[in-house]
Amino acid sequence: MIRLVLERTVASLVVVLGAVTLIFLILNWLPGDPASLVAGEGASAETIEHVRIQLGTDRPLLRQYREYLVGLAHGDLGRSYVTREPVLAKIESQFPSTACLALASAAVAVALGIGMGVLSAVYRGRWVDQVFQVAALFLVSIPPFWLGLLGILLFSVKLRWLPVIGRGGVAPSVLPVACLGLIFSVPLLRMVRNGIIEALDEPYVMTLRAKGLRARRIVYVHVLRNVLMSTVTLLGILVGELLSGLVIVEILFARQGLGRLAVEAVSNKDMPVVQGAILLTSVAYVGINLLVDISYAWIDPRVRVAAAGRAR
Amino acid sequence: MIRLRALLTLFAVLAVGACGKGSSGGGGAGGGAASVQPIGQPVSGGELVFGFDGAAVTDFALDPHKSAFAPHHRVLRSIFDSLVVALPAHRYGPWLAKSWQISPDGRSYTFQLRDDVKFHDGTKFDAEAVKFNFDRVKDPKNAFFSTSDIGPYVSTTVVDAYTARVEFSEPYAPFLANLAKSSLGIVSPAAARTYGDQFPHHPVGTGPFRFKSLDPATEIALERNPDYKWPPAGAAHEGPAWLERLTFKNVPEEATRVAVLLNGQAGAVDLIPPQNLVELRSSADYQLVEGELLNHNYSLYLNVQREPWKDPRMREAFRKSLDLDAAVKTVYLGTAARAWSPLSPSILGYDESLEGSWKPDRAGAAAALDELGWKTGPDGVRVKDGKPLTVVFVDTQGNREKRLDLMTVLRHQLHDNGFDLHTDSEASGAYLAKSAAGDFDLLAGSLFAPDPDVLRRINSPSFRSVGGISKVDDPALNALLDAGYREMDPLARTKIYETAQRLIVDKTYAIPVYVLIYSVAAKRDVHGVAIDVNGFPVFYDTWIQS
Amino acid sequence: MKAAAERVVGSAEGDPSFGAAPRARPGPRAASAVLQPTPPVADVLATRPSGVRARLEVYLVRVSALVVLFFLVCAFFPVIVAPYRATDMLSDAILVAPNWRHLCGTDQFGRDVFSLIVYGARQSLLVTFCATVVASAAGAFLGLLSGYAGGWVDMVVMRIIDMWMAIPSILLAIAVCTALGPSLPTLVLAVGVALIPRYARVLRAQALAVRVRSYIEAARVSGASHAAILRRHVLPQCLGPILVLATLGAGWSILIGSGLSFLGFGVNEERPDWGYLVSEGRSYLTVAWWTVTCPGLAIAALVVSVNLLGDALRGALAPRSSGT
Repeated sequence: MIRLVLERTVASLVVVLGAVTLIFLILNWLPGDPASLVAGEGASAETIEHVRIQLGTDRPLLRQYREYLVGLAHGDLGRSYVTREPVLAKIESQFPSTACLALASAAVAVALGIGMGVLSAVYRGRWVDQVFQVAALFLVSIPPFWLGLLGILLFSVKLRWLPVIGRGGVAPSVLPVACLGLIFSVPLLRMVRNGIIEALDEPYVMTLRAKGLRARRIVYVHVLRNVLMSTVTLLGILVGELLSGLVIVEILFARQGLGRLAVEAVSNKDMPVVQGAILLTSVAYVGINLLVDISYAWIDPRVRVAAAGRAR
Repeated sequence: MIRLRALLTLFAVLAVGACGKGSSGGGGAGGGAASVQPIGQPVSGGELVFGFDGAAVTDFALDPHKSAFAPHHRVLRSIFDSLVVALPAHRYGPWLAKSWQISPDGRSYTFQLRDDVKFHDGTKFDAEAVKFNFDRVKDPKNAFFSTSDIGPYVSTTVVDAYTARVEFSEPYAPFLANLAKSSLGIVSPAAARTYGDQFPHHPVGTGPFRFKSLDPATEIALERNPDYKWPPAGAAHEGPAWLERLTFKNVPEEATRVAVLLNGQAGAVDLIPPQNLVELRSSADYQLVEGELLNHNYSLYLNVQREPWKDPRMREAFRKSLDLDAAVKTVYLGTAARAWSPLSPSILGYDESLEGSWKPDRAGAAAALDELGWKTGPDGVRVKDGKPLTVVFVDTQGNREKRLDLMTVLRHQLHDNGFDLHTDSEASGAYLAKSAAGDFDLLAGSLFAPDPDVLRRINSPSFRSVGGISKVDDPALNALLDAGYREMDPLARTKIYETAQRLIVDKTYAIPVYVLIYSVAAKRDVHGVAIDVNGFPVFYDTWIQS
Repeated sequence: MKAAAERVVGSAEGDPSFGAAPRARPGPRAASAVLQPTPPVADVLATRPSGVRARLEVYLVRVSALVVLFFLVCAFFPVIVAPYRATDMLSDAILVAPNWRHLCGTDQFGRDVFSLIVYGARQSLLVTFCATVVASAAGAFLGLLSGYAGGWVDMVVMRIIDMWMAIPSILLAIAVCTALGPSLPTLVLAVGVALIPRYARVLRAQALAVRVRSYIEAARVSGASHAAILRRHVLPQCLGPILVLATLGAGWSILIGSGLSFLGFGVNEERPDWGYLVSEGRSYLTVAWWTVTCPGLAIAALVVSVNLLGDALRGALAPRSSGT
């Protein structure tokens, strides 16, 4: 078990490093000189060169990369090219908002997905199932910002139940969270539904029924547990998608966050900020997947046995 | 099933509740439906939430000298005061400076300053502070945008505690106009020294509102400056501002910004899109305040250094193929005026005679193009020597002020005459590279400015930026613009700039398109929102009826 | 379990006909590679239905096919469907609500929205198709290579895919758009790049599933080369999932493209694609809902139809692919 965790952790670190390197390479491939952007429109060539030296973009790529890694090891993520603010501070200030939104949306997606998936499976074929299927299909077919806009129009302007923008309190977060949560509940809904339907056809269920257990108990206690594992795995994979969705929601609802920060930084070729943002997202991504793997191994004894078997 | 539903609800509530923290976001002005009451006396207190279009930037650089971005200045005007205030008809009134004298040769301006002014951090405003500010702006190490506003600045002499003499190396007529802008607002020397390059996040000025807090990219919170008693000439009252809190919320999405006003979260919003202006104008619950933005109007610039635009006849054919009246009407639905000159109508030197002086002439343009060897090809695009008549328009601003929509209409018009217009949307870094390298056929832009000297800033090779929109190098024009800023007599200046505008239009260096009317829509119970002569919102006299 | 989950993500329908609800079999590989033979088929909409249901399903499939056919006609022969040209700007009919003359109203330029949708079909379908081809090809290559070869090749490729997925797809797409400037090929590449990891993971899972089947062993033993095995046995088995992913890819591509337009990286062509139309129309939602809703419905209609067709296809293909 420990060996599994260590193995996975090392693999995760490789992935994080790889992601940061990948984005470093991609950004350097992008056209445009961040120094001229920073120096501003009125700058002479001399000033631009001066800024270039200040930023460090005049040095060879390999050296820049190496210095970045060294800085990283010391916890220094560099300074934004555009604002000269330390990247770590900038990300720290934007992170809570995004994390909050992400967690809430994930929670809503899981709740809705599992809830509706169970209902759908248990009442499969009936109108409940049909309605959910149709709704699900619709939800993944529309652009997310359209859903958000409709929400604003209906709940904010017409009904005045919810505010459009704002930070404090629950109310301003309801619309963005609902928007993302609904959309991301769909894959989970399908997974749960089909997992349960599958499982209900399994021989062991028949055995349980023969033993006299009521259908509901079978679903909740036995089947759901199995399905939950796949659901959690799916969630790990969906994290990347969620982060993309956050970008759009943040801009639509005029919220601050890492999504907006990252988009603007890419446009400005503000390398340290982009790398910092990618560092964070990749850590989140591998972190969640790592947790998924560990919990998976922990829940399912057969996997532990397999891992132990390999260790020998 | 019930258990499950309960679980779901609990889950959802908990999850969303995890985000709840901190103070409430602050409501709009007053509350509920505005009752129609007679406007009484201004009352002190309350908070105005102002939704503005700050674009999708994630950082507010609240340093007046550093930022060229108009949305920033809409906030900065409330934090920083200027030495003088712009009054209608090109006059200037006292503000932080009680009076001033200009030397006959135009090279030195002497200001008598108020002696009762304090910065938000308690330090005194005096001639030393003025010197510090101008030296700071001029310092090449800072690379501030406002450097060009003080032109041939040499130094400031502190004559005595409250008298400062600003010296220039040559006569500089635009100085007062630029002084009245927030770009030359007065910052606290103590704060600038303390915060260094972090000053943009700790702005300290003398304005009626002082900076309280900042949520990057979303909100700037200001609070009343209780010591304020130095409003500019023309203000409706003296003493501190009525509003206790002034909160700027950045809402770049048009639909969201309008929604924020309609659902009461904001007391006022700016830059209302044309499609909503129409309904707000006639609504009883909202009032509209509009003012012309003193501006180098949004204009199209063909790259005169690249074929075939080197030939003025080609440029003219291009212009004649456009029906700008129709385009402006279609895109702005009557809420923006047609521009005939690069200068907006209220700027000194605006040449009225240019209005209506050039018309679309599709047939004439077609004839000229045929003559120049551009024959219409099979797909409708003209071809000469095997090269199609493509016009690559490079853009980085997106559909701000519906500029890309404008291009869509113009493309349609141009196609009828065989031009093939492409829009090349680039990120800012790539855009700067292309504009600096001259890798474009068409650029467009505007620049807010109160003085005709902006023409020099755009067109003069010695003065414009490397990535500027104009690549014009016309000796006659350069001479005119150089003379323009040195001419101290307003009437003579007007003549010079009229000639310059005529030249720019005749040679089709620039094709002006529209005049931006800055608009603010406010709820009925929000009174006293004003737009200053430069076109920026002023909240000093704003009060909320309860 | 992870393999199954990966397959499901690819076919977010959750249709288990290609393997799902797994049983963990202690295998020689890492914990995540659990495999099992396919269980009995259960299709998405219901268990084998009664008469009424069956007819409804068939009806739905027929409608979906018609919808897709309609859009294909729009893409190839827009002239016969659209009442106006996409570039016609009627300056006296700006923001007109839907009526008989303009089925979906007009936009802020006076262009007929219905005609815009018809002409936009080509761009939307083209981007979708090309992006899907790109993603399938690259994803299949990576996935099959990884799944079939196993060992350190598998590990390296999977780590690369992980890195790829660790960067939010929209940022990758933006980076590509910024690098190459917005144009149709760029959009195709951007969307394709964002989609490749999904395809790779699903196809890897499929390759892994097929690899351990007994007939593969038999083929190896009888001396067939890896290439031959890939070609003759593995690839045909993967066509099913590829097809499934392709139908889903339609939706993903359009939505990613729409998201890019929203962020300002869209392609402003004479015949804009639907995602661009929806994004552009969003400022007019309060005064002219049809500018957003009609293109949005077109997107939804296409995606839903393609998905339903994909389901039907999967149902038809399933019996062949199950069994060891």
